[in-house]
This record gives sequence, C-alpha cells and structure tokens, in this order.
Amino acid sequence: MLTSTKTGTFRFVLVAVLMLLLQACQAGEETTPAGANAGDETSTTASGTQTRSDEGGTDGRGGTLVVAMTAGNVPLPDIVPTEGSEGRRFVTYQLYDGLVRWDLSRDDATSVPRPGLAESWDISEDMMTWTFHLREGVKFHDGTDWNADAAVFGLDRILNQESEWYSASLGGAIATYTKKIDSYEKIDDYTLAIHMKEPYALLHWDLTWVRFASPDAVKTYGNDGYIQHPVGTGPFRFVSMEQGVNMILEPNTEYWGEVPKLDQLILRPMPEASSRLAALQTGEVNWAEVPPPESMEMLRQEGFQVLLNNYPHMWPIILNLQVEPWDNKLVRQAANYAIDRDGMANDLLGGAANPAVQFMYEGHDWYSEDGTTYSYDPEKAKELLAEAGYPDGFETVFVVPSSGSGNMWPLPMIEFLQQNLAEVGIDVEVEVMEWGALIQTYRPGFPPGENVGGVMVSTGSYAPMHAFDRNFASTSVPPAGNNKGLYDNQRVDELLREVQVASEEEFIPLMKELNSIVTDDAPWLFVVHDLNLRVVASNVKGVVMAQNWFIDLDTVWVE
Amino acid sequence: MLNFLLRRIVYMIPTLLGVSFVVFMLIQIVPGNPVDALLPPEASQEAKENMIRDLGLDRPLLLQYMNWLGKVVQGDFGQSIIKKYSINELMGEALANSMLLALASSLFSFFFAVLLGVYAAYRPNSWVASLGNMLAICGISVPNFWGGLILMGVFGIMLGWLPPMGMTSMGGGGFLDVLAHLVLPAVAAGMVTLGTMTRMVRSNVYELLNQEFVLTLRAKGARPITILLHVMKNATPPILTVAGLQFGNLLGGSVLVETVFSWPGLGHLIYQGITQRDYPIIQAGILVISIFFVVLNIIVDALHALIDPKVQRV
Amino acid sequence: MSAPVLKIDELVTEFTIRGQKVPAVRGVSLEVKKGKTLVVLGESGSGKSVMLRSIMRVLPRGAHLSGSITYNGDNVLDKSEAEMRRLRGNWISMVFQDSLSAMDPLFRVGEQVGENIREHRRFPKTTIRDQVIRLFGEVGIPSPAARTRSYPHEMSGGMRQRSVIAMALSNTPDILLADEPTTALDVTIQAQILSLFKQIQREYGMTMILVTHDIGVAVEMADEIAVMYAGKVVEYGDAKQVLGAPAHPYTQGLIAATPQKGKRGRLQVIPGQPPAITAMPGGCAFASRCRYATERCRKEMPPHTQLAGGHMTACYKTEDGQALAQLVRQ
Repeated sequence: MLTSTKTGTFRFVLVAVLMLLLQACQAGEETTPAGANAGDETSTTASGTQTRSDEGGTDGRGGTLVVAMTAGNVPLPDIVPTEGSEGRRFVTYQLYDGLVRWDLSRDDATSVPRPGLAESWDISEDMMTWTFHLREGVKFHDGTDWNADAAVFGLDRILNQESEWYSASLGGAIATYTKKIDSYEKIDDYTLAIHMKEPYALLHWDLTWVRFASPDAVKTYGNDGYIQHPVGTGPFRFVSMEQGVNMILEPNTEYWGEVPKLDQLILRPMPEASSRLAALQTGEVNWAEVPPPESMEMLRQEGFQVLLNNYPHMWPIILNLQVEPWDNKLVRQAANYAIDRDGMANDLLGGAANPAVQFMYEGHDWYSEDGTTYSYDPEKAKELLAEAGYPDGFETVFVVPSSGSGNMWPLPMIEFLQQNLAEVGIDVEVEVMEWGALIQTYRPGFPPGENVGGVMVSTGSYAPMHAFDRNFASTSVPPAGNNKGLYDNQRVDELLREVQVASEEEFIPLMKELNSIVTDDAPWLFVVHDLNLRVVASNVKGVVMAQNWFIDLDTVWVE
Repeated sequence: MLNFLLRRIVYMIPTLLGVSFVVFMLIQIVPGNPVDALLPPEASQEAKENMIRDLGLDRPLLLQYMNWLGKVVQGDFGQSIIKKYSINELMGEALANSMLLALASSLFSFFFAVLLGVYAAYRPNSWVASLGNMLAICGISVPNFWGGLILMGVFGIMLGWLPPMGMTSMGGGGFLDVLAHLVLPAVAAGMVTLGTMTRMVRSNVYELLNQEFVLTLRAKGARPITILLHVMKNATPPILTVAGLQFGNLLGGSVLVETVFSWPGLGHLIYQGITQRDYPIIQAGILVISIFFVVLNIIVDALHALIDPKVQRV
Repeated sequence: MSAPVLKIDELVTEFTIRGQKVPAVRGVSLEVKKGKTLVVLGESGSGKSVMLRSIMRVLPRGAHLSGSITYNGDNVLDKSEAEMRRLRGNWISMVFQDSLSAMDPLFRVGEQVGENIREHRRFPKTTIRDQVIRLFGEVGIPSPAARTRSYPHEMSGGMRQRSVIAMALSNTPDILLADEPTTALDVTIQAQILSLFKQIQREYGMTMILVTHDIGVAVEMADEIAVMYAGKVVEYGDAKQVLGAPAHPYTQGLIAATPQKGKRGRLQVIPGQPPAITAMPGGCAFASRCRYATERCRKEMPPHTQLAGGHMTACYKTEDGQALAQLVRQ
C-alpha cells in the first residue's frame, strides 16, 4: 500500500516539476494577464470559472477541431463504444442519435432530455406504454431511412436475444437504462410504442443512452464488422480511424438538427495527462480533456481557455454499512464534517473541482436548499464521534483505484482525505488497486469478512433512476444494482416508487427530498464534484460547457 | 550452420508452447476480466454472466487454450474481445510501429554506447569518460517516461525543435515527418539501453585493452586502428548478447514511452490488453514478443558462431 | 670486439600505483653486441620483464621511463610514438611467454603473422601469404600452408610458440627480445624451441636478449649474462665467468638451487622472499636474504665492482679478490 501511494506522489511531483520547468521558460514571453477574459461576454459562474469559450463576435464557422481524449485508444464506434464514457461522449454522441437527446445548449442550468429521433412522445394514463412519434425525413449517413422498422431493429440489437443481430455486449453495456422496458412494437412507419414492466414516467431520461445504427450497415457488415463502417444519423459522420492514432469525422450536412460548423473533427487518444498538455501547448491539438490540474493557471496565462463547469459527477467514498462503525449514521456524518473540501478542491486540485456539500451540487435542480450540507467542521466531527461512542476515533480501510477514467487524481486525493480524517481520530489505511481489478472485486459488493470500510468509485448521476435508484434503493444491492454498502432506508424506497410515476410538477420536489435524505444519511463520504476540466485553444469558439457528461460539438468552430 | 539454425528453431517450439500456456493460465488468475472492461461499472451481475457465456469464457480453460492454440498454429490470433478487431491486423500494425521505434532507439543507443564506451575505455580519466559515466547512471536510474517527459518539455515545447508526440503530423506522414516524430521517443526509450551498454562496452573494452594480445599487437608495431579493430572484434560477442536482449526490451518494453509519446506500438497495445483484460491480445502480444526474443537469441548465437571460432557451429 | 647494437644506460622504469611512483627497474645499464645473446636471469618480480618491455616501450599506462636506451645511435626514449611504431616488430621484435594469450583468439594465426608484415610494408596480399608460409616452414611448422589457416586454440603449445617466433621474425629484425619464451612449454619442446632460436640466430645473424629465470636456458643460450635482483643488475659478465665463477651471493644461490648434471645432493634454497617493489630497503636489496650481509650492506647500496675481463658485480664481499675466491669455493 505504502509503495503504491508513494509512486503516486512521485508521479504527481514529477508532473509538478515539469510544469515549473515549462512555466519558467514561458516567463520570458509576453503573457496575457490572468482574468483578461473577465470583461468579455464570457459567461462565468459565481466562482469566476469560464464555462463557455469566447464568442469571438460574429457567428463564424469552419476549421478543424483536434481533440485529445483521455481514452487509451480510439474508441470503436458501435452505439456503445469501447473506451468507456469517453467513447460515448466523443464518438457515439456525435455519430448517433437516440429517440431522446440531452439539451446541452445551456451552461447555467441542469441538463434535461429533449426530442431527438422522436419529435414527441405520449405516456399512457397507466404509465405502462410510451408512444414515440418519430422524426420524418431523417436518413442515416448511408442513405437508409430512419423509421419505426429501424427503431425496432435497433432495440432488437440490444434487447431481443432471439434476434440474429442481438449483441450481448451492447445490450449488457446499457442494460441499466433498458431494464424497465418489457416490449416494443411498430405502430406505423413513424410511430413506435414501448411497453413498460411497471408504471414508469422517467423513460425519456434513460433513452438518452439508447442510440441507433443503420440497419443496412449492420446487416451488410455484421455486428463485428460494423465497427469498421459505423453509420448513424448523428451530427457527424465517420470518415476513417487508425488504431492508436486517431478517428476522423466530418459534419453530416444532411443533419436534421443544427449542422455542425466545423469542417473536420479529429479525435486522438492520449491517456497521459502530461501528453495532452504538451499536445495542446504545441498546437498538435486545440482541445484537451483534463490536463494536469496544476497546469491550469499557466495555460490561462498562455491564452488558452480553461473551461470548467458543474455536472453531476462525484468523487466519493462509498461506505460499507455492514461493518462497524460505519453502520452508525453519526459516525458517517462525523466523517463527512471532517473533510476539508475547499482545501482539496482549490489547494490540491487548483479549482478543478467543487466541494460536495450534498450528493447533488449547488445549482442543480435537485439540490436541496434547506437540507443538510457538510461544511468543514472538525470540532463537530469530534463531537459526533464522541456521541456515537468513538471519542478516540477508530481504524478503517479504504480501497482506491490507482487511476481510471473519471476518477480524477485518486492517489493525492486519498492522501489528502487520509490527513483530514486522521485529524479527528479516524485512522484510514489505504489500499490501492488497479482499476480493472477493483471493478471486478467490488461489483458484487464489499467482499464479506474483509472489513473494508469504503471504496472509491467515481460516479455520474445524470438521470433520476441512474442517480438514486441504482445507488441507494434497498432493491439495488448487488448484483441488481450499485448499492454496495447495503444502504437501506424505507423512506428512500418509497420516494423512489413515487418519483417513477410522478407528474412533472411533483418530480423536482421529490428529487430534492431524495437528495436531502441521502445526504443526511451519508451512506457515502461526499468529497468533491468534478468540474469537467477541459482546455481549448484561444481560437476555438462556440463551446458551451453544459452541466452534463456529454457535449454538443455542433456549435463549435475554429477561427 | 544450417544444421545449427534448424536445430535451434525446433528447440524454440517447446519454449513458445510453455510460454503461451503459462501466460494463458496466469491471466486467468489475475482478478478482473474483459467483461468488466466492456460493461460499465454499474452493470448488473446478470448482464455480466450473459456476456461471459456469450464470449465463451465459461468453458473449461484447457479447452479454451486448445482452441486458441489450434487457430494460432494456422496463423490466426483470433479477435480482440474488446476491440473486436482481427488481432493479426492490430498486432501487425503495432509491431511495425514498435519495430520502427525499437530500431531507431537501438541505432541511437548502440551507436553512442559504443562510441562513448570505447572512448572511455581508452581514456578513463577524460571528461568524455566522466560524461559517459554520468549518462550511464542517469540512463539506468531515471525512469524512461520521466526522461521522456523532460525531453518532450525541453525539445518539444520549450524549444519547439521537434514534434513532441504522435507518429505523424496532421496530414503529414512523409518519411521526414515520421523521422522527426521518431527522435524524442527513440531517445527516451534508448536512454536505459544507452546507460547499460555504455557501461558494458567500457568495461569490456577496458579489460580487452589490458589483454596480452594487445601488448603483442603493440609490440608488432600495429597501428592504433588495427588494435582497435582487434579489440572491437573481441568485444563484439558480449556486446551482441546484450544488444540482442536490449533490442527485445525496446520492442516490447517501451510501454510508458509509447504512452507518453502517443506512439501506437506493441507495448501500448499489450498494456491496454492487460488493463482491459483482453485475453487474446495479451496472449498474442506476449507470444509475439517471446518469438522475437527467441529469434533474437538464435541470431545472436549464430553471429557468435560466425565471429568466435571456438563456438561450435553445429 | 664488435660495437654494442643496443646500449642501456641507467634505465629507471617507474609505475604509478595509487598516485605513488614505484620503481620496477632501478638504474640498469647493459649492452648487447651484434649477433650475440644476452640472457637476463632473475626470479619473477626482479624487473627483468619490465626492463625488456621498456626497450620496446610497451608498458602499461602510467609507466615512466628515464635514463637512455641507445639503438643505432638514437635514444629510444626520445622517439615519438610513430617512430616507435616503425621500430617495433620491424627492427626490434618480441616473443612472449604465453603464446596462447599473446595471440588474438578470433583471428587465424596466418593472418596475425601476416599482419606484422602488413603493418610495416606495402605488399600485395599474395606476397604476404607466401611470406607467412615460408616463415612457417622456417620455424619448423609442418604443412605450413594449412597451418596458417588455424586458429590459435587449434594449435599445440609448441606449434603456437613457433608461429609466434615466425611472427617476430617476419620483418627480419635486428634484435629479438624474448620474454621467458620456453617457460610455458614441456621440457622436450623447450629444447626444440631453444635450438630453433640458435638456428635462427645463425641464419639471420640476429642479436637476442632473452629473459629467463631458468639457469638451464642461460647455460644453453647465453653469450653474456646479466643477473637481476629487485630492479637492479647485481652481476654481469661473460656467460662462462658468471656461471663458472659467480661473484654475487645471489647468483651463487641461484646456481646452487638448480639441479646440475653429474651433481648429487640436496638443492640449496635461498631463504626468504625478494622485497616488494613498493617497499625497497635502503641498502642492498638482497641483504635480508644474504648470509654474508653486514650492517654496511643494509645501509648502503654496494657500487658496481669491475672484476677481470669485463666481469662486474655489486657486492661489498667482492671488493677484494680473496673474498671472491673463497666464496666461489663454498
């Protein structure tokens, strides 16, 4: 354990030293003073972070956007791609549409679903049937028509095990979002009905993950060969890819929505943060995902646009409620009060994260203004521990991954957390695991008898069921869901049943209540909300950082 | 010689079989499996079990191994579980890229190692010898990805002399373009080899210079170049042995350098295979590298036999 | 009397060991006459091999030479490295003790012999090859043409030593230096090699300096003998004088320690060890082992004393002829 943590620190220090080196040599050049953008129309949040790129005056177009992704390789572009969420963000969200897409046009509001390949939908009175009115005149990139047959074909691919074109890996990968679906049928050429297993009013959120490939292309190349010839209806179309090097996309000029302004989109896999930084600085790319956080200030000074915004993505410790003393709510709250979230977010991460004072972040529709919030209050933590019967603290074990997509910088962060908790008497032993091994070990929940107190798995919470049911319902204990700590609160279960059939007016208050209860019960240590750090060159315009994992590239151009 | 080669080639078969079998079994012991890489972390146990069945990973291991072996013997490494690509194609490309990098870094490191090592052996008290010594220590002790980052920072970004990453520029790809991209990763990857080899060449040549036959040569009035020729021929067999091993290391062991410089090579591919538990990729990758090691060994031994008359040639 | 071909005067050879200068040869003066054989006799560590290599200036790094070595009227020590190179293997050649390590194991013997010619003369390859074969024949190697193609490890010790001699002869040098040329060989082969040396000397009229610890070799070969002890010549003279009437107690000891034809009885061993070159005593280096040694011997180095007929020694005991005669009889 010690060695792994040390290696982590070592690498961190190395990167920091490199930054200094780079900074030192830039010092001679003329630099744009920090905050030079403040006077522009650039939209910023209260904390002053930039959430949109410069508008650049008039509405321009054209240019080639070269993106340095965190992915280790070029994602293979089926409707569920390889390379995890990074593949979904840059490849499938650009190549394909779902019946529903995210509304990503705003940076100052919670992202909600909007019509995609379905122009509109109705929900039956009993909430058992959803009827989708499909968009007419839409064609796949290969000219195949989009219609109810194509929709049924697409759903067969992920849901119908009898179908010749069924793919277990695709189906399994998005099973979380399709598990309420019982059956589906073509009503007419442009009408599709989806029947639910139980009354359900939230299907449109889930369907943002379900996208459609051209039936012709799948039939021509087969499920395996298809990834070489991906064909969707999305705003970009596939041109070419070279393993390990890049994927090239171009705008779909026939797009039913807004045709992208770019001339070309090139996606490059660069799993090393320092490589992405170097590529950005030398102009090899003009868009880099998550460069090293300590480089943010330097990049701002060099005139790059450092974009940050809230989105529902958290870096937590999921606690094991089966072992003492984490079964005690007071202890869990105490630990939550012991965390110096500001210090971590600003000093350690240089502002690349926000403190997670609740499960959802402040400003999100589901944030509870009158609920519990966790400030940094070590005295209160000690009081709570004493009250719970642990005045001298206790020892526990946390397991963290050494790296992994979305996990930010786990090793320095856990060291910081370890210090915070030590100050109130909670002695944390850290066990570092390789990401793949961690997922495998913890998918069925905490291994019995091992006395592990918590595990770090970063989690996105975009859709309601995805956020709460999966993590906190008593019915979602593994293998059914992700409630690894075996959290069990009847009120939460009740609310979850209500929210599934809630009307639009009831929906947000119910979500707020859920968030409030979960926050107060503290089945997790809520540490920080990731801010989706990305840096783009000064001539990249029209970027809108929606409060979502996904991003629309249709609005972007390069001057 | 032909006999020698044939025999060695026959001997390599059990070695490779052994390697492939051990690797096959070992990767099963490591926790994690490809399904975890394919499915999102929150996917259900049921989805996972379905997929395991779908991929045939639930069949007896020995049967899986025999199936795999049967295909490999016919020259088919099968398909990547994660990438769903033909591994022959993936490997072919990655291997070619890695070969290019390995050749370039070997060329760089062997050339300078021999130059510095020989000079340092001739003039052990010169500043060049001290420099060689320092380089050797740095090369061996500085992790190559860190060296790579520094090179990238200094020559790629600060000075901007060389492209800091990738194999080709956007829209480029000509010979000179690839060559320019090759410089930094080749130097970064070659530093360890440079360090190891410089030390080895220096101590070998130094020892040879004190050999009696060098005295004889001097007593014969041989020109310095003649003496160097004799010394180098004698130094070649041990240098070759180390060089062969080092080339193998450069080919398969430059994972970090390949990652830092975004070089789409074999190490990178296998590393990904390992993190994603893409079994066929790991197996194919390690087999390919093993074949290279064994073949390099044969080549080295054959060269030994050519150079040193005392080595049996049959 | 013919003039000396090579004259060594007050030669001092020092090595630098851990920053300290350590003398291995401490003021040697010798000369050798045209066509004659000088045998330098001494135990290992006496500085005889270093002295021999000093003539060729083939010493390890850090060796320092002073005094003079006169060859053809020039001081060898003043010559540049390039001039030395033309001298070595051409005018002055050397034969080493261990013929196996003296040859490069990776080159054919013929090549290595031919190399000696090639490094000094521009001859066509075929001429060189013929020369080598001729030389092999001359030194008594059977089927010389085939043997030129052998590698060193494929030859017997005697054959190899013959080819090393062939190498030394290849440019018909003036002077042949031989450093224990027979020590590594069987007794019968030794005799063959020695007679080969004699034959060569007759045919080429060559001058030889032969270094050995073996009195038998000296008896067989020497015209003149120099006895070295601890970096100095302690006795020097005509072979008959030195062997027949040794003047220095050390020479006497050496002879007494050697089995001789017709003589029976226990061999006398010289007690003790020669001093280490890093710790040379102030007076006579042999004093600690010498049964005649006096206080004076231990304090002052005895000067060279001329005896009859050029015979010379460095011992206080020989300052009057009486003492010498007594010593000889004991």
